[in-house]
This record gives sequence, C-alpha cells and structure tokens, in this order.
Amino acid sequence: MSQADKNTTDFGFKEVPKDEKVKRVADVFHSVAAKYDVMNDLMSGGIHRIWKKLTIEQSGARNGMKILDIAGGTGDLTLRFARIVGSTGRVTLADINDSMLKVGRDKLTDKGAVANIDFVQANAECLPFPDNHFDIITIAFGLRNVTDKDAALRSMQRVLKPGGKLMILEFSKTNNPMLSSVYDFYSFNILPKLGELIAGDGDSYQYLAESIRMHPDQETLKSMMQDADFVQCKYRNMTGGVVALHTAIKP
Amino acid sequence: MLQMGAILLLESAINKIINSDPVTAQSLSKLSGKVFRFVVSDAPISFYLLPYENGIQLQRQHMADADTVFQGSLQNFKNLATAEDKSSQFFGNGINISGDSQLATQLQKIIANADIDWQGLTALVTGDLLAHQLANILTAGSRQLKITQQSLTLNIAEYLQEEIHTLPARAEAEGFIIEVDDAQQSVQRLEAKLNLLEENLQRQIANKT
Repeated sequence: MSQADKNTTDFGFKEVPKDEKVKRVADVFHSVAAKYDVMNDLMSGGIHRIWKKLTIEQSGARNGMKILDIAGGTGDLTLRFARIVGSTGRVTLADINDSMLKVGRDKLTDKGAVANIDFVQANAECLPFPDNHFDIITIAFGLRNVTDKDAALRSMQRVLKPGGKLMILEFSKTNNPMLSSVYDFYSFNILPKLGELIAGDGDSYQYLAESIRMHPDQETLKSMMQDADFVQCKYRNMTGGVVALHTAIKP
Repeated sequence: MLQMGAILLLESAINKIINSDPVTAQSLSKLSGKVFRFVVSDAPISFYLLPYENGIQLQRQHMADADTVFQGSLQNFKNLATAEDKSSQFFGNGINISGDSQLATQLQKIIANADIDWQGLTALVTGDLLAHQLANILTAGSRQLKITQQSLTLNIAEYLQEEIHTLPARAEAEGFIIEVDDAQQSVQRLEAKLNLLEENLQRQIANKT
C-alpha cells in the first residue's frame, strides 16, 4: 500500500496522523538546530563529512550550474556546491524548518558564502520552483523525515531539468549481521544518551534512531524513484550500508 | 573512504593556512572558477584543485576538464614541497605542465610565496605536542646536517691544501694571482716600450733615406 492511501504515517516507531508528523519533525529540528553540526560530528565520528564529500564528487557539479539542496539544514553541501558553481551558477538551500535554515544561513554568511546562494523555506512535497529548472537536486539525511516521500520524489522530478541528476543520501540498511548488531546497540543505547548529554534532548535522538529503522531500504527506495519516473536509478552503499547514496536521472 | 578522509584533512589544513594568510587568499581568489589537476605518475594519486574566494576545494573526481594539469613523480612533488625556491622546482625538474600555462605560472607564484608552516600543518593531524616534537626533531636534524656538511667541506679543503699540498691555500693562491697580475702588467709595459722603440726606429730609417 502506498503512503498516499492511508491517513497515518510513521514517526519513528510510532504511528501518528500525517498532519502530526510534520509538526513533530519540526519540533525535533527546532530542538536540535543549534547543536546539529556538533552532534553530527560526534555521532558519526566525523564520517558524515566523508559521505557528503563523496556525494559532491558523484554529483558532476561544475561551474555555472543551478543546484537545489533540499533539507539542506546547516548548509554543508550548499557550501561546497556554491564554491564549485562559482559566480555564474546558483545554489538554492531549501529546508522546511526555519530554525535549521537560520542556523545554515548564519553559518554560510560567516564563511563568506552568500553571493550565489538563495535560502528558501519549502516543503519537499510541493517545491516552489518552476518546471525543468535545476541541473542537480540533492537531499541529504532529509528524505526519511518527509511525510509523503512519493509526492516529494515527484515534486523533485518536476523541477529537475531533463538530463538532470537527483541524489539522495540517507541512512539505510546494513546487510552485515555483525555490523547491524553493533549499529543497533549504538543507535538505541548510546545515541539517545549522547543527545541528552550534548543537545539536552534525548527524545529527538531516539526519534532519529527509530526513523532510520523505518526508512525504506536500498531496493525499496530505488523502486520508489523508478515509480516517480526517474531513469538510471542506482545506489551505492557507504560504510557497509549504514548510509546509501541513491542517484537517478530525469529522462 | 580512507583516501577521501585524507583529502578532507589536507583540504582543511590548506584552507586554515590560506585563512591566516590574506595575501595568498587574495591572489588565489583571482583563480576562482579555474580547475587545476595534479597527477602523480608513479602512485595512484590524482586530484583536482578548485580555488574559490577564500580557499581551495580538493576533489578526486570532477566533471569539467582541468584548465591546467601538473604531472610528475611522487619525488618531483616531494622536492617541490620542501624546496626553498619553489618556482625553480616547477619547470625543468620533472613536473610536466599542460593546458593553460599562464594559469600554471599564477598558481606557481602563489604556492612559492605562500608562507606554509609545516609544523602547523602536521599539528592538524597529530596534535600540537607531537607536532612540536616532530618539528624540533626535523629542525634539529637539518641543523645538525648543515653543521656536519659545513665542517666536512672545511676539513676536505684543509686536507687538500695543508696536508697533501694538492691545492694551494687561499692566501697562497691570492698571492700567486697578484704576482700573475704584476707580471701581466710588466709584460704590457714592455710591449708598449717595444712598440715605441720600433716606431722610433722606423722614423730614423725614413729620415736617412
């Protein structure tokens, strides 16, 4: 059954009405925005930087391109893209959460990256951009928080130029049993405590761990991309499948 | 993943240096949007260097063609990193440059003029204390090497000059050169006198006839 056919959706391991998920996810990110970068480094041991860097390299971004970074949060990808596309290109950082957007805007301004970046508060399910507009769209660690993922994928397909590339970087499923058990222990025992200690919010990080488990696995997401009329859909596992990078082209 | 980690560390280290060196940052920003590629021919290392306003970005892959490519052996690049005069290491020392050579020259100048603190660079990877000790060892090592080199040169000179008299001592050589100069001047004076005498002789013969 596709997500569109029912009125409730997952919020971590809980089942909540669709409207409520948006609000609950928003609360999570309002709560963690200020400590988001520190927590990312701490939780992943800095490896998230490598995952993002690999995404940039696979993107094929170059001078003059128009790039949309959905759920761009604190702007890690946007910053690197902005440097690559230069003064003739444009990067749009979109996030549904204004707290995250503010943290991202301040961080990028501090780093002197402003000239070719737009900040837009937008819902991935109904992107406020013209058809066939972007050369590349990325969404890194954002898709699992979107309520209607199918609608979001269709919306991305619409604003992408024909021949343009979609890249989804997201936590996924490991198929190594050893790694899985270590990862599970870490996610449900250590991660929420780290969140409590550093960001003063254990519940949000409990949600993070749960939402990762509820996110579609590699093959499911790939078929969802195909259903949204993308072609050349493929994925690449990183760190044993803890994270996967899905890529696809708009025909 | 490991290579990517190394690239990220290197990139952030270089950018920290650039941030603390406004002159380099300014000259680098003029190359913003250009693509440089470095290829190490005898090791599986190649990367792209993309300058932007306040620093550089390093990538293993890039879609667009490089404007300028630097290619050489690992040793060539090591020599370049440690050379006092970096501009001399670029040309004619094994590093091939293809593409836009004007851009290559600009980048060379920036690298040659950048004030790179090797201790600081190491500290980013190893921590301050270890880097300080490492830098001390390296500095002390190179100082000792220099002293040894100097004393060896002096000893060899002394041995050749004083002990086996194969070469003259400096004073002896200088004295000899002065004597040669004197002799040369005397010969020149003699030549002038002879010329004068010859002219007089020619004149007397002409008068008689």
